[in-house]
Amino acid sequence: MGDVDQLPVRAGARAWSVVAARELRDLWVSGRGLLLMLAYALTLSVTSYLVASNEVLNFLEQREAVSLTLQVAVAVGSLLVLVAAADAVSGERERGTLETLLLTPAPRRALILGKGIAAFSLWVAAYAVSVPYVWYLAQGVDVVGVSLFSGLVVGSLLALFLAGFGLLVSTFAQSNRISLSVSLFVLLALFVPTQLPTALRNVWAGELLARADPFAAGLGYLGKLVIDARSPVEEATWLVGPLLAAAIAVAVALAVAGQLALRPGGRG
Amino acid sequence: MRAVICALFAALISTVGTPVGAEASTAPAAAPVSVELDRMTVSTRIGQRFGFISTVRNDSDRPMPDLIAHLNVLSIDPAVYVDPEDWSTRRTIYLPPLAVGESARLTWDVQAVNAGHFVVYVAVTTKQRADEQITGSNVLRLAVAQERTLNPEGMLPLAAAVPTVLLVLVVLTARRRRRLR
Repeated sequence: MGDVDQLPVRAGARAWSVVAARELRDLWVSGRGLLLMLAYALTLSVTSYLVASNEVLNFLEQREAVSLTLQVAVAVGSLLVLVAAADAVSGERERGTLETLLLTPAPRRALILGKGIAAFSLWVAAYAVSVPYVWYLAQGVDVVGVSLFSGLVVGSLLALFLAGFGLLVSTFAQSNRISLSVSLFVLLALFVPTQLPTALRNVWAGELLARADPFAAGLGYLGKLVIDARSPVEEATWLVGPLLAAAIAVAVALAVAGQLALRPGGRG
Repeated sequence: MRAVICALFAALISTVGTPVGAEASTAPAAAPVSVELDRMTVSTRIGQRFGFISTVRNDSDRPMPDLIAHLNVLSIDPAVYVDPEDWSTRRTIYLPPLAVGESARLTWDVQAVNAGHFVVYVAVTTKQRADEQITGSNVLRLAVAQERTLNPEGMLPLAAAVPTVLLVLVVLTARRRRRLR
């Protein structure tokens, strides 16, 4: 946010929408967002071509291939949101622009909300980029609708969760390095339950962990719908974890926004 | 459990319909149970589900407790690998005791996950005699037609086009920024 000193918070205009507009322009017009989308598209191109060119896949394995591409799209798309959110405040702090930002007449909660919306826009763009890949692969095994629908729902919940979490960490982190390190470490930890062996997931503690972890639950939900052809409603309980995580992360990030300070723990 | 299933599979490869343990030179002993499938042939498309019923009857002169029925699928084409676990999630059924002459109908749900020609059958044994006697059903001949699936030729243009479009946008944005400066 380069020219924050000229932030035009007009009377009657919602401060958060002004902040969001500025942040969105900064992200997309500067080309940073497009570069991230290019890297994201290259990842999806390689993944989808590799799964499509494998000739020995049987019917179920082809569904698994669609599910894999969808999971990569959702996981990498939400990772982009986390990186942007984790940079939102600590990045300004490190670049020395936070003081100027805090002097604008916008409430601090509006600053965080605006930055969160900009970070979330990366997921919206990532989803749009992933649509042709998922559509192409899924039409071969008749799961286009369910793949696009479940990917949108799960990806949006995970992106909201990571946007809230990234902003929370960024608000209190002294530097960008700390903010990104903590955020990525937690993200990796959240991916661990997705790798649990099936036998462990079948015991109550394993299933509880898989349902509580937003990533394991969200990606598991995608697998159940795309691979096992279950109905979205039948497996909807798997979305409770991601839904709660998204609601809590966003609520906490906005609740602590008032404590946004020039130095973490300081007073503006 | 796994040993029982493996024994069933190994034995059935060579002796479907014949009690294991019967020597080639001697007349085979009458099987204490019989297994009949209600369908002889099925033609379907890949990914489709189909079902059939097997009837297990106690042909012996004493009650049969602990009967175990097991579904198997084998490919006639050696190039087609079959993982039966993919075809049916419920391949082993433990039957209630059958009185003399009594029969039980078992419903099997199968999904065709490979294209080609296959043989489906049900094998039955008892918990006590699993290592010496297995009875196989008549076979169900299954033909699975291939359908349109993942298409690598079509994927390649798409995989190249999306990043190319984004690259053009990145270049145009960079040019515009440079011009504004």
